[in-house]
Amino acid sequence: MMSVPISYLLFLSFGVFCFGACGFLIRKNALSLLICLELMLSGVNIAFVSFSRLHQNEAGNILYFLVITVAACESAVGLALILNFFRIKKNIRLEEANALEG
Amino acid sequence: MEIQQILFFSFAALILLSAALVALRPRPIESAMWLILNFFLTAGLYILLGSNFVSIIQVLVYAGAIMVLFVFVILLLNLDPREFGSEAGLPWTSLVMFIGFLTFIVLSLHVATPELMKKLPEIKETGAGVFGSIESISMVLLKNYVWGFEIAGVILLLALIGVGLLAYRKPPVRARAIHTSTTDTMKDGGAS
Amino acid sequence: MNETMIAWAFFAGKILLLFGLAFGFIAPIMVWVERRVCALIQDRYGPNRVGPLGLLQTLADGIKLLLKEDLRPNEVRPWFFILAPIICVIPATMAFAVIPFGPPTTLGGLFAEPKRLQIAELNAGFLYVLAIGSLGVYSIALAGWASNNKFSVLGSLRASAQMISYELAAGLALVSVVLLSGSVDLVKIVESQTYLWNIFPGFLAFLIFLPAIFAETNRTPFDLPEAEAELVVGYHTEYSGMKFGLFFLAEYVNMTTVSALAVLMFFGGWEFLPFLPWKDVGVDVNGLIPLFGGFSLPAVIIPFSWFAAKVAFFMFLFVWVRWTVPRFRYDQLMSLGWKTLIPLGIFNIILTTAVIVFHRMS
Repeated sequence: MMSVPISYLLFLSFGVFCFGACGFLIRKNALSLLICLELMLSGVNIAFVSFSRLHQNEAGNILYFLVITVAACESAVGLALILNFFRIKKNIRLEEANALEG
Repeated sequence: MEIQQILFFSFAALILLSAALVALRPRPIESAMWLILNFFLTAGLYILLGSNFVSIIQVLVYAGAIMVLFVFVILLLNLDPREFGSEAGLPWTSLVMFIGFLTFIVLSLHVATPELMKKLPEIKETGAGVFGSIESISMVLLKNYVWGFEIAGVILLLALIGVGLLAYRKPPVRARAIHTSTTDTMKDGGAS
Repeated sequence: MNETMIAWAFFAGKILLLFGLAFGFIAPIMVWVERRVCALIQDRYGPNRVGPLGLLQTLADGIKLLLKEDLRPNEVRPWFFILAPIICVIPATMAFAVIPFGPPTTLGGLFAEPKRLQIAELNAGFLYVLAIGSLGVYSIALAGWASNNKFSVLGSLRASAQMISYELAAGLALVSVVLLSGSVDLVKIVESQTYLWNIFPGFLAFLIFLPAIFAETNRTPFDLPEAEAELVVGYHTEYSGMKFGLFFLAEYVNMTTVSALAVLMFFGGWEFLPFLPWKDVGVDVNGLIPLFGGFSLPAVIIPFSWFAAKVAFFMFLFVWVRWTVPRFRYDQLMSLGWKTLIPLGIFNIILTTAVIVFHRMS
């Protein structure tokens, strides 16, 4: 069906993951951080699904489901934390989260 | 070049472009919108790969549930630029991008080997239905990986309880508040 | 004409038929029906000046909307303000791609084997409709946020929360139907209902599904996002002209989709009567109906019209309920969704599974 080598798909997966990781390091507000985390997980998912297709084995697709479960939980808990943070600090700048600094 | 390849390369280019915009746009709402586009394009890629069920789940869960949550929170907070903070400076940004690029190159060199450059095989029938169909995936999921499935359920339940605890606020007890405030004023009145 | 050309023509014909019907016929007629039925219920005339019985009123309104100035208030967030109505229409149209509108047929011997009357022959059609249906929230959230207006933001917050909650209820109700039919393919779900419509074993599921679709399409009694007495008109307060027209259009197209889904899932799709399918009345979907003068029509037109009639009944139900039932309060809406429909849906799934398992064992 698709005549593309697996390495191209892996390049794509690495690219998406690296953009997510860079975004995670550049951003300073909590919402963008969570969004970049989702992007990184999406990059990982591309690799899982591609390997699943390469070996004609559903294990990769099932790992995709587990990753998506974790992503859903992580975003739900993360957003709840951000809402609580906003309630206390009235902003979502992460450099303000310094109450534990010595 | 056949049509599948053209489709793959256009999808790949658009996925990378939208991923870059997710990482680089300053406002959270723009990042979120580009990420939604990215998820749609990824769903298209999964269809090209033959994993139809996965692609529908990608739209249903990622685009339809997780990102809706993000957009909802962004809407709820209704932030102005002061509240989501400044950007990292140019030196730090360029350093991070450079390291990210290096990581990409190193990882890519690892997989750019001749045996991985072979084309993907044709899609076969698995035990139950075509590869990537709902029947095939669910047979494997509920036979070989049933513990993973159960643990995913437990994780979801834990997240549900955790979010419930985080979001829970004690309902304001009006009567007591009025009572204490009246006693305060009475004290004040007594003092003055 | 060779085989491939016929296949392509058939494909294009399906698309033209469905989208022509949805945008060119159902949406305009529904606007007219809504106003006339409203007038009937409230004992007044309704539109009756433009064209016979006022039928051309919608056309006149459409032209008016198209020709209006494209206003953009000063304080809105520019790109998202334009994006929201566009995003609103896209999922509404996309959902049509997998709605089957007739039994698989050879069109009176035109094809060697029966072809499906469904634009995209997707075998997970039901999940696709759910997935696309969940995207409608974006346009509403964006519209409210981009309008930069208190009423819009409140309306869109209400709408998003409502749509997210009732999607769950609708999904849970439909899962039990899938369990009954044993497939996620919409055509196979209809075929499994040949002698026993799902409404009989799945009556509880239908009771959950019906309020859920009313809430999902933001129609009365759940039209809180628009509650004009409290919120002006909610998320489209700032929209005018064709941008408002797109929201309006999407609402009617969504109504058509969920009505079609209700018919397909619970009311046997294009089958004739609950225990009497077309093949028992003597209608062969692959045959031809002879007309006068040697012409003939493919017989599949009979089940197709019957399906359209069922969908039309549900559309009428939407209008009927809108002008009969008063609006819910917001806390009532939320507690109905989360405390009644969703637990009932989970209970229904467990019950259905148990019944199916016991039925198989005995």
